[in-house]
Amino acid sequence: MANLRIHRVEYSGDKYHYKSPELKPGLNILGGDNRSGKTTFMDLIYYCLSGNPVKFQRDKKTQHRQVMSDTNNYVELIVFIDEKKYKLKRFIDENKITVFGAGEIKTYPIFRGKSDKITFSDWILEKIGIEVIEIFQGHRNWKFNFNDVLRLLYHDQEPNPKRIYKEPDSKNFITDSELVRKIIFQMLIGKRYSEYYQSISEYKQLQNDKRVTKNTLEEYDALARRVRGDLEDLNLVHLNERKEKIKAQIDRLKVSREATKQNRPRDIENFDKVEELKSQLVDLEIESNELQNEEKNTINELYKYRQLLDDLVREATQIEKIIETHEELNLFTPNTCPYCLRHVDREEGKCVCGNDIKEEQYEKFFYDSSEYLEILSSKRKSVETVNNALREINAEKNKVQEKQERINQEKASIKSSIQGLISKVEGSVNIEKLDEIDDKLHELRDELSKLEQRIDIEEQRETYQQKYDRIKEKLKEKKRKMDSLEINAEEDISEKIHQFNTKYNELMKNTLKECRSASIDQDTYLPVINEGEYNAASASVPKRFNYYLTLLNLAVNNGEVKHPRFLMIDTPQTAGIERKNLIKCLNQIDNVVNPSKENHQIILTTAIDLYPERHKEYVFDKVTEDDKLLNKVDQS
Amino acid sequence: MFIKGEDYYFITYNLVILLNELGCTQKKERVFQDVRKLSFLLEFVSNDNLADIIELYEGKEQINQFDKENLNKAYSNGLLRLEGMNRLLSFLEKREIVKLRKNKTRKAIDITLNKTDKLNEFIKKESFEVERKNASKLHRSVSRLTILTLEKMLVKIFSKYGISTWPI
Repeated sequence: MANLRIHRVEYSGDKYHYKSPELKPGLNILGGDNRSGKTTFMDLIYYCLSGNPVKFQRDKKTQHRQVMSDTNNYVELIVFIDEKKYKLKRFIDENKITVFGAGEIKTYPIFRGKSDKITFSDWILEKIGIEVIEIFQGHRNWKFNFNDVLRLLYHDQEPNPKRIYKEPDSKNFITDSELVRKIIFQMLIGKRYSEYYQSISEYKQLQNDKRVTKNTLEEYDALARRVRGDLEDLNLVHLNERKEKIKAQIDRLKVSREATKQNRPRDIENFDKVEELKSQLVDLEIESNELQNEEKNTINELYKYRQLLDDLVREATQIEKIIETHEELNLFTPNTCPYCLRHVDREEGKCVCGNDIKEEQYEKFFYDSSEYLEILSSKRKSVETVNNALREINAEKNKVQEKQERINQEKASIKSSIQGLISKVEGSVNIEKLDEIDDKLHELRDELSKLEQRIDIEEQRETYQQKYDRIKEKLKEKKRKMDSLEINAEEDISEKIHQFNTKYNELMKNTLKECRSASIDQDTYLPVINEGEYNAASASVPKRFNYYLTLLNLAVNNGEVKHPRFLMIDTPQTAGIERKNLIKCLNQIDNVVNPSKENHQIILTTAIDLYPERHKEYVFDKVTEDDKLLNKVDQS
Repeated sequence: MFIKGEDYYFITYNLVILLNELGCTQKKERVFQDVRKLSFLLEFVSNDNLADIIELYEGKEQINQFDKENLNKAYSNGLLRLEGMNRLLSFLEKREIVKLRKNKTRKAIDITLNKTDKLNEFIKKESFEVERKNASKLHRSVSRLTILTLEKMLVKIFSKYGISTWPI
């Protein structure tokens, strides 16, 4: 598997700069006094490997005075990954790293945003050959990060190392969880863990799908129940059966309905009769109207004649009166002059004025009694005539009225015949039966549409049921696979743990007086000294130190292990017994690797008097109080 | 041929009966002022329809079409009779049936009936029952008939009901 090593470290800013010499594979020692920049050196490397050292966090009390006050400053690392050269560049206060190498220049963000862009961690892990596994932690997904790896590659200067792993840059319940720590160990050392974890996340995903599908099924069930109401619970097969039955019923009813409607011929006959009667009725109405007019005229005539009669009768009586008056008073005679009213003796053939006249044509003014009587009788005859006329007219009027009466009766009888015929017509079509059939059809159609609704729901439910069943199958399969992978992984890790323990035991016994046994716990991978009975604080430095060394040893001896055979050690500042222990630890490096061999790289910072003499050749640089790491830029 | 309206006999008996009814006799010494009125009043005496109309609409002013028509006819007849009246009246005065006198203030002629026993008998004849009745209705319905001016009388019996009259 791939190796990672730093070739050169450079810092450049407006005020300060530093450029390291070329670092070699194997051991590289930066010696120096405290507070001269040893940790700064580590921080620079860590920063350019996407770490977030406290000293480079702005506005913190602990911030690095020089670096944070500098401007236009960046860190550059030249690294070899799998012996391929890359240059990494990161500006202070920026969260992206530009990678130069393999013929391309690309900038990667450090933090994973909402988009699916590749982060720096994704890139470097891919180069190193470690899979970016995803863990489902409840609702949050956590992706394996290079910074997690660095927790076991960067032995930082923790003054009181209670813990083995370096603290994560940002602590939260995921990053600092036991699970994540286990995973880091497994990914670095184990062979099959990435496959195993992959299968775990696939399994969890399937479980999610199963849950979601189950929910959908339950929703459909609830819906089906609502639609069903009080009716029987039927599955798809039975629903379809019932649907066919109802459809058949509907068809049968339709046929029966048509048959019921078929009693047509008699209907037409009756309808025609009714039409005929109706037209008769209309004729009678017209006749009736005409008769009414006639009657009106007759009555008018009657009135006129009556008036005439009255006048005539009056005239007759008046003549009678005149006769009487003449008889009594005898005032005028036919020989009275109409002008002066004196008596005139008129000769026959002569007018009262003396002129000749024709007697027959002579119009008299006054009459004598007999003449008056004649006039009276003629008047009386007129009266008679008018009376006769009146009688005739009356008879006429009566005839008309009789006729009208007859017509009215006929009209009434025709109307009742029509009524009778209409009711007969209704009977022959049997409207009641039709209504019955229609109601039943309506009912059936209703039922059919409801059934179809239920069938629709069931069909959709069916697809989800099938999906659910498939998922369950897959889940079983996945579980089997997962379990077998787990077994493989466990077997492998067991073997590795065994190797780890062997070396760790050796290192611990060499460095710690009281130690009789040292191993790591099978479950937590954390060290247990003397079966857990030894917990002295003084043990903490070697406990941690040796842990990192053992990991490196394991990696160096197992080519397929993913640990990039790279170690950064920033030795803690200690005093007293811990110092002695530390010296012993530093001496153990030879026990772990061959410091000059190229199969690994250790970058070590330590005080000048701490490392063994024989390691002098590995010192690449020194820092002192007077000659600190960062050099001021020549302002001239 | 025979115009009853203008027939002198017709005028005579109607006139006699009316004057008698109104009490315009020598004995009673009441005078019927303005003979022209008689020309119109005779219509009402001879025709019971008209007499009924006068009686019926006494006090009222709205009159139906038919009755209005009849009144109209009565008015026309009255007008036509006016000329002939004068001739007859002077004749009747000669025969001492009536007495005429001039009325200077009204520029008209007044009349009284010279009721003799013979005349009285004549008036009481059964045949003239209708005329007597009509005269009585007229007398009752129209007050102060003997004293009214022609104009006032015309208003009372014609204009009131919407019949158009014109000065005579």
